Amino acid sequence: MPSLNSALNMGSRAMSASQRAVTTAGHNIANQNTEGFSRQQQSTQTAFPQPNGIGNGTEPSPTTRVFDRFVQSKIVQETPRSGVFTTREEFFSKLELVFSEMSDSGLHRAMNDFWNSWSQLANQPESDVVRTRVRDQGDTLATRFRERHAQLQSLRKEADARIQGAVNQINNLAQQVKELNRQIYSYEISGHQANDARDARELAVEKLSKLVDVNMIENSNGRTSVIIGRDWTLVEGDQVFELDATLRGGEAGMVSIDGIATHDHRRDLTRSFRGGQMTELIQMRDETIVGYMNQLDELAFGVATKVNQPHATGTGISSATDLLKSAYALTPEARAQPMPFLQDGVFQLHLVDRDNSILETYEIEVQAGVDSLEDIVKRINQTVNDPNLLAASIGEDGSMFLESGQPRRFIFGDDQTAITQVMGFNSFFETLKGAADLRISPRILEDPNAISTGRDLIPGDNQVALAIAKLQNQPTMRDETVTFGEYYNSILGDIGLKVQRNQVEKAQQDNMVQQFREIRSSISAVNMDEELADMIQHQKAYEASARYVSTVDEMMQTLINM
Amino acid sequence: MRVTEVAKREQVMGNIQRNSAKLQELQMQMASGQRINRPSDDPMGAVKMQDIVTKLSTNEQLRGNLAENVSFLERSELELGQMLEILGKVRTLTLSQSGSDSNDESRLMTARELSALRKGLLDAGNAREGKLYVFSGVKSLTPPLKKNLPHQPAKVETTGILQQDIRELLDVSQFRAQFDGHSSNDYRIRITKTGLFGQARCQLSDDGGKTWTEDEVLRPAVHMFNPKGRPDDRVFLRFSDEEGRLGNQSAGYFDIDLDRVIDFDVEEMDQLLGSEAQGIVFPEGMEFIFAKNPEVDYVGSPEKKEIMIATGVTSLLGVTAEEVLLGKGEGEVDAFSLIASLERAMLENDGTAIAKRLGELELAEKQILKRLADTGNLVRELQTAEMKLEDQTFEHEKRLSEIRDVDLAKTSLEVNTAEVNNRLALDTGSRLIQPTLADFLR
Repeated sequence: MPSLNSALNMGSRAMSASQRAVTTAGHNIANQNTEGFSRQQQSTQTAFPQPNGIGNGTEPSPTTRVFDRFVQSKIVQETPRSGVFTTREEFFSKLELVFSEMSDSGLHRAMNDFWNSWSQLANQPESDVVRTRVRDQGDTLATRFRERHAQLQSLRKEADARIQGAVNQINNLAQQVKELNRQIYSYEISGHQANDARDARELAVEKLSKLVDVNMIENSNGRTSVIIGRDWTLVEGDQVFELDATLRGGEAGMVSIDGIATHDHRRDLTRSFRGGQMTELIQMRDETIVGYMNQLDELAFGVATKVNQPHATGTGISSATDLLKSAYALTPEARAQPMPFLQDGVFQLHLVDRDNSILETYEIEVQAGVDSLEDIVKRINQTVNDPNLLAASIGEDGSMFLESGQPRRFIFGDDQTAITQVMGFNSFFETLKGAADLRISPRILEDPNAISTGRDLIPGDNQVALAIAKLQNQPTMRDETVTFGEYYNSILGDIGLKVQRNQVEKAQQDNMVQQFREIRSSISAVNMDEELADMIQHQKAYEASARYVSTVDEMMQTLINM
Repeated sequence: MRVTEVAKREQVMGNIQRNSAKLQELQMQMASGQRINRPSDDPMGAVKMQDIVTKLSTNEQLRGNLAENVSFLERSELELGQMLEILGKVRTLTLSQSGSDSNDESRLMTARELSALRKGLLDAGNAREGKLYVFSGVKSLTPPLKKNLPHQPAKVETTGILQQDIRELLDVSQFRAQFDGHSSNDYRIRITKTGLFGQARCQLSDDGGKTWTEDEVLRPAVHMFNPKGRPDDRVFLRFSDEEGRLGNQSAGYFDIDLDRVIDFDVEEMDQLLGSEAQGIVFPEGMEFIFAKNPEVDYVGSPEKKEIMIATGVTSLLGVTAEEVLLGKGEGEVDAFSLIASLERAMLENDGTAIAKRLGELELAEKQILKRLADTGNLVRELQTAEMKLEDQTFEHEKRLSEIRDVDLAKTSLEVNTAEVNNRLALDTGSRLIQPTLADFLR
């Protein structure tokens, strides 16, 4: 016969079990909106029965969380890809705006206007007004190129800033994981379940997975290793190996990402990420945007060279001058070395008198790959053989000067050697880097009459202007297979298609992640109805247990009063 | 499947988001009237759109250019008509004076009229449209026709058959000769036998040395005619001294025709040979070359402006004064020389010479008519091109609208659907989220 005391005990155990269950339901309800929270369950088991086989009531088992490790690992595994698409979408929508032609300030429109102004000038080579139009459209076009370039550059800067932000976030999350590792370890070593801490750790790793691809491996003692990218151990138990965004060599202003191991050993991890926002940010900064910048540069170079080519040897209404300075300059070492980009052949210099008729033509021969700037200057002076007529020289800054004795002036004639272009004589556009510094030549900016339309100073000669106007419809880019317009359109189409494809892929990926999240929430998230039902159930159990205790109490009372 | 609060919320929010996004996109389309507002809305469409926009703007420019060129050509036509009119008048005058009933007085009057007409023709040739000379080719800022001065120095050469001993004694470059008057041919006079007047022999070519006359004795005044060369030119050589006296043995002037005077200075030679010679010695092999000196020279450019008619199609614009008035090819006529020679014939009261020129006059008119027809054809070509461009523009605009513009009926229907969907999503969402068991417990 068990004692009444033990019966009383059994009652109080049952009550405290119910109370615990109500508390757990309360905990669940309270945390129903807590991010990463998994609902907890309070299960009970029968206590070890009495020797005579009579039941001994309930006994609490540890509070557990309802959690599916597989689903969580799928989420962590798939989120990085989702992060890639999200970031890509964000940047592409900005890229799209840069290349958008929907406004009046489009680059394509500026190109059209530019070619049209040449078409008009070819039609009216004598007109001052049209010359001014060509100059203005040329200036506008150059400005548009520079603007686009600056916009792309600032997008890269933005990506760079966000990379630095991501590095900070990663370090922060790593610290959290480390701290939680410690908590979980010290908690669970004493036999408890660190449910909430584990949820928090799960959440931290999930957040990491938005930024980078991440793997978490749990040790036997409840601590984890977190590995990001290809093989960088970010957290190992209670140790963190942080990342560091550092400026190092390469391109000014753009950071590399180092992993810092023990003893301050550094490793460059910039290229080691394979998913997450970070990967796409790096990809955007170093590949995608740069790719578009290169295409823009190529286009700017293409336009500049193709326009300059006929322009350099042509003449405008007031092209003849007594002093010409090359747009480009050579360093002292380069002056004595064979000049690049030249071609074998001759170029002509015409000496003209006051009323623009040609007095004398000098032909200067150039050997490509052999002649240096100094050689060419020397040869010009030898050919002319009278510094009072025409003299060539190299200035302090390395640019080339041509000067004729007044009242004679000079112009360039045929040029097979490309020297006019290489040195930037009589060019329409000037550029060294492409879109970033495309400008129209200051000489033309000052005097639109210096714009070349024909040759040999014949005012109605329009062959140069016509040749330039025709460029619009000539295959000039990509090994002379597409026109400038088509080239630009292909950039535009490329961006549009990428945005579209990304939208589809993002939707699919987001959908997949969403489905896993739904599965997770169907397993782990809190359902109010359920918790309320539980609560009532345990409340009733509590009431019943209390009644049992009072019954036992009455029985004891009876016993005492006997 | 277990449904949880979080899942409910996420689903409801997701649905509302999707519907809102669709609504927003449609709103954008309706507001802008454009289906494509960024490249990704329809990448291929956006590219096509750019392509069409380019074509449209090119066409617009081309049309502007064409209009400009047509007005330039119309100006040319006007001036060409003017020239025809002038030549018509010349012909009427010539016809009226070619008969034997005209007298020298009426021919003198006609000569004056012709001179005025010649000036009119020159003005028409130098006509301007704005600041551009119409018939100047690409040298459009300078007048194409220049009146030549009526004298020109000759080049003196030796042909190599000059005798060795004389060559040592003579510096032929010291002979100076001058051509007075106008001529459309080159003249060459070659000494074929050394000697003084009356001894030396000479021959003449009026076609740059291709054919020569029979040689004849060089006299102070000689009529020469080259039957193998240009048949009409009869040249009168005359030597004169600086004061213009004729037939003098120490003379220094050489005349061709009435107003074609060749003059040369023989002082130096006289000094060289003077001690023995009784006058001027003309050495064998010496040649006087008189370049042609027409009334009017073309100083414009033979090059014409190349204009773009359509993408990739070009044509040469206009005609030059050279083609119209001076005649550069075989069988073409220099109208100015022609009228000048008519004037001379009138002054000389030479009826046959006048009648002879009538044929050439007709050629000159044909020459202008041909250019006028060419110009008219080009104008029509340009107008056709302009019309074609207009058609193209219309087509392009239609296509652009097809690609770019919103189908209003269809889109407003879509807006309605999207709106209904959105409301439904909100409605069901609100009903799903609100109640819990708590609402029903007491």
